[in-house]
Amino acid sequence: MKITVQICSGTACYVMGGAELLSISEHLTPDELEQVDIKGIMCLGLCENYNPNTPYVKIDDEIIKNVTIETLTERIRLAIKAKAEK
Amino acid sequence: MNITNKINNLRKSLGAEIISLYFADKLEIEIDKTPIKRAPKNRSSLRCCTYKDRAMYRYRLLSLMGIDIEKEDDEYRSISSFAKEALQRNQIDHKILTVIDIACASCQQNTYMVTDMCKGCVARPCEENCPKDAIQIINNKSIINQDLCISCGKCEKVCPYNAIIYSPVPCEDKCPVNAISRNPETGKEEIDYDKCIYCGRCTRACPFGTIMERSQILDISKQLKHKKNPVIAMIAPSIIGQFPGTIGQIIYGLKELGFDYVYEVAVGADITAQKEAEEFIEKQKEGQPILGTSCCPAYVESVKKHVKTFEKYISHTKTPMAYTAELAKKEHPESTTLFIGPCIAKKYEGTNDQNVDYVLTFEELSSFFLALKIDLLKLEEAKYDTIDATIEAQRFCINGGVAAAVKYYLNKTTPDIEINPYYINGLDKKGLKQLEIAANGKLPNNLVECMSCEGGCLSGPGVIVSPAVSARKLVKPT
Ligand code: FES
Repeated sequence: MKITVQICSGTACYVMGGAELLSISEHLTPDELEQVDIKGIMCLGLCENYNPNTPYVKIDDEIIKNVTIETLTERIRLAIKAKAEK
Repeated sequence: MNITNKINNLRKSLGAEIISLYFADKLEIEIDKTPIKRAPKNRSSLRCCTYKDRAMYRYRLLSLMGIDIEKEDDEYRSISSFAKEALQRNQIDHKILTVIDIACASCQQNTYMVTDMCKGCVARPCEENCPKDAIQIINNKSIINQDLCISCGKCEKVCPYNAIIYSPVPCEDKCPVNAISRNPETGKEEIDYDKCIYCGRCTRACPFGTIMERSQILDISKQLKHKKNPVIAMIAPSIIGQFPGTIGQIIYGLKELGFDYVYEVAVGADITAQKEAEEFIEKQKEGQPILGTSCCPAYVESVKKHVKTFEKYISHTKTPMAYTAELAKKEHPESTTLFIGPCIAKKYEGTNDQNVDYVLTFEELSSFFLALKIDLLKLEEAKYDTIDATIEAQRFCINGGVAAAVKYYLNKTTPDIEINPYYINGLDKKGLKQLEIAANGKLPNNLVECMSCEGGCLSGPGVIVSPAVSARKLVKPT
């Protein structure tokens, strides 16, 4: 099973930096890309009241906040590693 | 700085707060609480203390409500009283920027500095290479005499330890025309409007968010909420990639916000390109050696203020915004028109065009979507209320796009006239020099396409998404 990476593409996450995350595949190696399934998803419902923690990404079942391309790359790598160790 | 940063996001969210309070009829009652809610006590502060944070929120809110902070600085007044005043105005004036002086960190002047990494080496390339003998070695450390230093940067490049750094004043560093500088008396940055070309770079360069636009979000909210006449949104081609979903969903979203019609500015770009092609032929026949494009307002302003000799070569063709607004007012004479784009200079251009009532950036538009909780991905699709534009016109927003569109129209009518464009991609000091050279007839080209922002409008100060991401969505020419 591949690791699912779901990038919140609701309006709030998208305009607060989520759009940049859509280029994530360019930051991963072909090998890493093999092991992940990346997609944009609808609003996760966490963005009420100008919540400053947007943008959100869900990696498998874990929700991460304030995601940047750097932190996302790192989190994906960690997830791949953790899976390999299992 | 990255396009996504805390200052940019803060502006979006404060803008959204103003809009949602206004739509809920609570602006004047609640707005004075915002600084306290955003910077509550017992929470770590962004600046020296909670109180300064609150003061900053106050001024940001004022500028987002369009108040000219330099002029209206009565500290006794509540934010709410300013909101009331803002809601009464019916006109936008030319001064589109405002400086929050207390936000200015009075950055050290643009300097080269020797850091502690200096090992006082024996080769001393810094001293050797300094053309002004500004470097001395004292106690085995290199020292720069700031009175002699001309900031050429040679020492920085030659140091084998990278011990010399350049520390700019970000706003001054990014200004291509030296329009912003420190007032020696107050120590704060000030804009010289005799020089300013409204490119907006300083607003995005300052990491303290000192320079703000005087936003028109309240004026537009008022139009949308208490509608007397139809309100028309005119969307710049660079909308591509700025929001989630399709263009159709964005148009639908705009209609949800209350716009009656949505016009595609690329339709105006088609007119611009076509007329510019005609003008090009005409000028060639008259023996004029070169024609400058005219659609980028920051560049046009820079020519008017800084390269007067080139002014006569600028095309008289109007901008895509102007043609689109003309069309809108013709089709709906009673309407209110709003241009939405990536550009701050367009706000200035808008104040000089009677057909353009308001101008918003994409960033400001995002505040509307946030405030009125419009989740674009969930919407249906709608179509522009204008005819289809060509792909060439839709590509006006990237560097090379304008010249390509002019060429496209030229080829249609007069393929035997050769067009040979010179591109100024991102107007800087070198670009200004090139314009001067062009005015002196020393360029082999016959068209100058100039875009103030490097990469074109997709890199404008009012975008939300970096051009690396948005450019991918642009349709390729066939
Ligand atoms: S937009 Fe991401 S949680 Fe709502």
